Amino acid sequence: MKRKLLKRFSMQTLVIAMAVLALSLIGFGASSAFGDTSAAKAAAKKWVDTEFQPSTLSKADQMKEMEWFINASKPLQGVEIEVLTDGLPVAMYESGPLRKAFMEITGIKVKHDNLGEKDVVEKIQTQMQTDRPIYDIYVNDSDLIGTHYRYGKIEALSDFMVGDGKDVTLPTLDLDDFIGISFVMAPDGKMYQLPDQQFANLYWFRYDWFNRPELKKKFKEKYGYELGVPVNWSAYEDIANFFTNDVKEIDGKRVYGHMDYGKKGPSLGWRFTDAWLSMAGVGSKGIPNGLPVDEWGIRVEECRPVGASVERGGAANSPAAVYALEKFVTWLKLAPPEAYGMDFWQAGPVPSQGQIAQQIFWYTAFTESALAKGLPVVNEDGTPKWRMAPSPHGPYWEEGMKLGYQDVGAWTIFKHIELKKKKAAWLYAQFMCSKTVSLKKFLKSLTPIRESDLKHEAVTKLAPKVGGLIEFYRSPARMLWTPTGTNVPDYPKLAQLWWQNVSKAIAGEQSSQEAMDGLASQMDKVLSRLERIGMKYCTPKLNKKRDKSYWLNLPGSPKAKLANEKPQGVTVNYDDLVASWKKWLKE
Amino acid sequence: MLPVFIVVAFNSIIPFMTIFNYSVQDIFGPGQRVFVGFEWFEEVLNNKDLHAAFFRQLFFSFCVLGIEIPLGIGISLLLPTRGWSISLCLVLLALPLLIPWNVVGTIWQIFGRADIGLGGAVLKAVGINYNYAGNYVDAWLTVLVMDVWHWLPLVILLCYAGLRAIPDAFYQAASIDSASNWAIFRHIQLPKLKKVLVIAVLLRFMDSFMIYSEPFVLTGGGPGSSTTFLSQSLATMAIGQFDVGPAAAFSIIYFLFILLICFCFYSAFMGDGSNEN
Amino acid sequence: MARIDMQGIAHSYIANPSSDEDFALRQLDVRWLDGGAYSLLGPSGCGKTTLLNIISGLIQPSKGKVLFDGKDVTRQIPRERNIAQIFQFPVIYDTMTVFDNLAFPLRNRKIPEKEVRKKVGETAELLDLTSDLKRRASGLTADIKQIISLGRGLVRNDVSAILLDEPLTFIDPYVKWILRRRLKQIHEQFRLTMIFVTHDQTEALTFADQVVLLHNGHVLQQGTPEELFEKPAHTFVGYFIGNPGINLMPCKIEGSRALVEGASIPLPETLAKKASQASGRLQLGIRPEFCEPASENTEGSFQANVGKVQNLGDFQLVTARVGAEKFKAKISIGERISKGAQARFLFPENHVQIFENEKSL
Repeated sequence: MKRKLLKRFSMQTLVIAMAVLALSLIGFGASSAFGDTSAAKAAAKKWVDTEFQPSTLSKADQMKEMEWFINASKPLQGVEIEVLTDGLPVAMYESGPLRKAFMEITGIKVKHDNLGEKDVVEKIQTQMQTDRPIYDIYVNDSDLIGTHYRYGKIEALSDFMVGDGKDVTLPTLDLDDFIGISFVMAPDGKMYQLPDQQFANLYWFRYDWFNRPELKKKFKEKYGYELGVPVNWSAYEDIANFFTNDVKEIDGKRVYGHMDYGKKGPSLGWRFTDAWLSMAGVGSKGIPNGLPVDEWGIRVEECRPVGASVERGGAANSPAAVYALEKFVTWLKLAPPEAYGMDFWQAGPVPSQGQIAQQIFWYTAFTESALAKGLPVVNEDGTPKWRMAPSPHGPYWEEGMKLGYQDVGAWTIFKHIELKKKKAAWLYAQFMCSKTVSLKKFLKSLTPIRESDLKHEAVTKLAPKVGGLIEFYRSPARMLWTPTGTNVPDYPKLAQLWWQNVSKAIAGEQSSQEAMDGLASQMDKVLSRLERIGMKYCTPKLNKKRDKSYWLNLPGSPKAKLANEKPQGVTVNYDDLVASWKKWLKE
Repeated sequence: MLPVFIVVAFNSIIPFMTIFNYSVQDIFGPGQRVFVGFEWFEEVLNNKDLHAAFFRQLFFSFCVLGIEIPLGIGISLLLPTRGWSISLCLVLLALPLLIPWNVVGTIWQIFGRADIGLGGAVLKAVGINYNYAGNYVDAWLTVLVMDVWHWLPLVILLCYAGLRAIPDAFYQAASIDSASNWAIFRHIQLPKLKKVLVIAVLLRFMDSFMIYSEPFVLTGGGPGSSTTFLSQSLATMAIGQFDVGPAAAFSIIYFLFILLICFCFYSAFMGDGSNEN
Repeated sequence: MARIDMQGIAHSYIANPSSDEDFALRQLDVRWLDGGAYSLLGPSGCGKTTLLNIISGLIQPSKGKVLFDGKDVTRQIPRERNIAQIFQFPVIYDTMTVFDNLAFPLRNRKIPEKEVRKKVGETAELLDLTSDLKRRASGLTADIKQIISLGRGLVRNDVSAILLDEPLTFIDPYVKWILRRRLKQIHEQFRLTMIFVTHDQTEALTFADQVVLLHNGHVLQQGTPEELFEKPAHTFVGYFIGNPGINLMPCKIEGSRALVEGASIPLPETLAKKASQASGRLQLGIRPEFCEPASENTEGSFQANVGKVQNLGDFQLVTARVGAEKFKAKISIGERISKGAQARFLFPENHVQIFENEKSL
């Protein structure tokens, strides 16, 4: 009797407990769908107030953007995405605080890996080859635009934005505000990637030394013109010789008029493909990249690559390209002897050590590290003793050609990613580039993406502290600095060929002509294999070989050898240069 | 039998079949492949750069063996045979073997630099013009010294174990026969070390013929192609360019070659004296 | 050839020995006569190899002196003593031919090649190796390898002694016999001092003129095989030699008889006198070979219970009990004797021994 009662009693308790549990779960679930927006809003407010300042948007407008993110991500609660980028400071800022903010505000879970550049490209290639979703979204250099377009595996974001991704596209994204938007467009006019971070390759020099009266006098006496920012390669060479061989010592220390790196390896490759040839003047006119011949020496007809060697109309082994390699090799002798054994990462910190007078090939990604307190190249008050300026061009260069290299890391999504994750990833990418966040990101990392950010007064305030970076980005010169273009059909395969051939010339195993001939024919071979296999769009179609003279005699690229490869050196005073830009800005 | 078969199939047969499959195609991606027959094999066999790398590799292995085997035997004879000093010596010797291979390359890369490296600075102070990045002789010497530093202990340890395995009676008999130290070495120690030496030679040959990370980190294959070995050429093809077609063909040829040499070595060394009891 | 004296030899393998236990050899004096064939016999671990290595100079003794023909050679290394030693396992130089193996000791001493050839030829002929001279030593069987080792000793003119450290250990059983005979032949021919270490009594007793029995680092007895058999100086000698070993039973002396449990065994007078004056623990010892079955009226016989009777072909092995003490007797096949029965036995006086504290009186 008692037992029966007990049983009934415990049954009741069980039912009640289960009901309570069920209700609370529903309630919890509901709140996480609706009630939690309050938590997200609070988080967003916290981030906007404390971290995302300054911004080109007012706080109210920033909150509007955040609210849009909260709403857009409601159906994507609990979705997990995996992101891969490299390890530059900007990427670390993204994978750190920005990711945290994103997760709190949207409820989407993000795993953001940072690996070395080489590994990122490897993962992308693996994903391309295997069609397996290793990562949902990458930050990948826009140099691969030609590759991505032709293999057809990358989502065309401009289509996605008006199609499947309409409900997750930020209305205030403002694509026209992106300074790098033209770099991520393919020949079909569609945008395949979204720029996330940019830096340029510029000329770096010791502003303080160039202003020393005794050095200026000495230079003028020997070379007949003023010491200043070189406009052409002749001037650069003269200045290099001046510091390495004439001056030799400043303040008791050995100084060099040139710095570079020559270690055999992949980083030697991008020393060239990051526009060394176009700086010399190889290629046709055309912004962002030369058409029909680009700075790799690859010629296209419509959008189809037809050859890299001069015999096929390309310019990889043209006199201008040989000249470019030749100068690299001879100038390397003017750099510190250790430079031969250094790669990109080892050579990077060297100018900051205080013995280099100028460097023609310097990535602005090193800006922050060259501003560290206590360095020999930094003043007491934290301002730099050095400046960066537009690079000089070689004798083959003409108006209308691109000049230098701009690195554009851009968000890239594979087509085969499932829709939910694609949407979540797209939200993540936009968050990283939104106007709410972008100015702060720029101030932290010095890698700009938006015109509006560049105009902000916080940036004006920053300018004197960063050695000319802001002045450059606000100048007309910036338009001539672009990434690799769409002429290159398979960036990973073709890029590898460069360092293997170029290093032979550096070691003296081959002449510059032989090395470039080897490179051009190897590139042609890859193009022919791509032709044989067939690509989704704009498959290469190799030209028949003709005599070199046929092409060299035609106007444009490939250009015939100049009679005088060393015209009179021309320099410009840095301060005058900046003043002229300010005038241009005002207009 | 079945478990063994499964393990071997998983580890060797299936990958090998995959490689063979790749080697007769030009592959740019799934769905983008074309059968090319023996084109890759032809190309690899005719590639002058690969020929040069091959001879470089052979020469390197030859130098390595020529230095490490005699030196290894010599040092193992000098090691103590009793007491606590044995453990100390063996542990110290084993240390270089424990270091990850790319770290070895990095260690020597820094060590050899004239500005921040101890070795390079010392050589510079003494007046020797040493630049492993610019001078191919220096680069070769540095790569050799690095390999010896890294792997000599293996040879020493193997020989030491072999020597310890020789029963005392032999030494006692030799002592009674008034044998000199050289005679003892030549007639007792060296013959008894034969089996151990075969292992050491095979191991060092295979490893040195495949060497990759250490020289790659040290010189990147430079200056020029002077220290570009076969393995590096293969790795560049396979991983850098993702050119699995030619890489597969190349790796098959590479593998067959190593197999052939090891087979010859082994037969030559073990052919005589096989009926020892 | 030499006479070898070992005086006051003691050896420990430990650096600072503190007690008797630390010594492998404890205080021994042995003399090996020139040209003698000796067996150094004893159980494993008794110190035989140590002793041998002290003779050859491979070990320096902790205490004592070694003299060759009266000359103190204790501190001399093997090469200087002109010893030849053959080890347990066949030591030959694998890479050399038989000829070169034999020539090795001579060549190391820089003897002219002509002489070397002569000596090697002689030695090879002696050892029946002439046909094998050109062969690689490594491919031969173990016994021939041992002969070659022996040859390396014989090839030298001035060899003072040949020491053999259990050389038959790795030889096939049926070949052992051949090898033993060969060694004996060599000894007879050359009259070299040969010391043959072994733990096998058959080997020892058949090879040697004199047997030195070693136990726990002490020499228990040195004498001819017969002496060791018939008059063991120590219970261990009695136990170690003979198969089965000597019978040992605790006893009391009463007048001229020894009392073992119920049995009364007559003793020779001198022995009885010595025994009655003895103060230590007494044991009566007699070999099974000497135990006789007896009848009722045999003088000195006694009654015992037969436990086991084994027919071993040549003889019967009887295990009998008198009181609590067991003993074994070897009796002829013809004798009738059955298990479980009572039988009478006789221990003949002249074969009875009394041991006081293990030592024979």
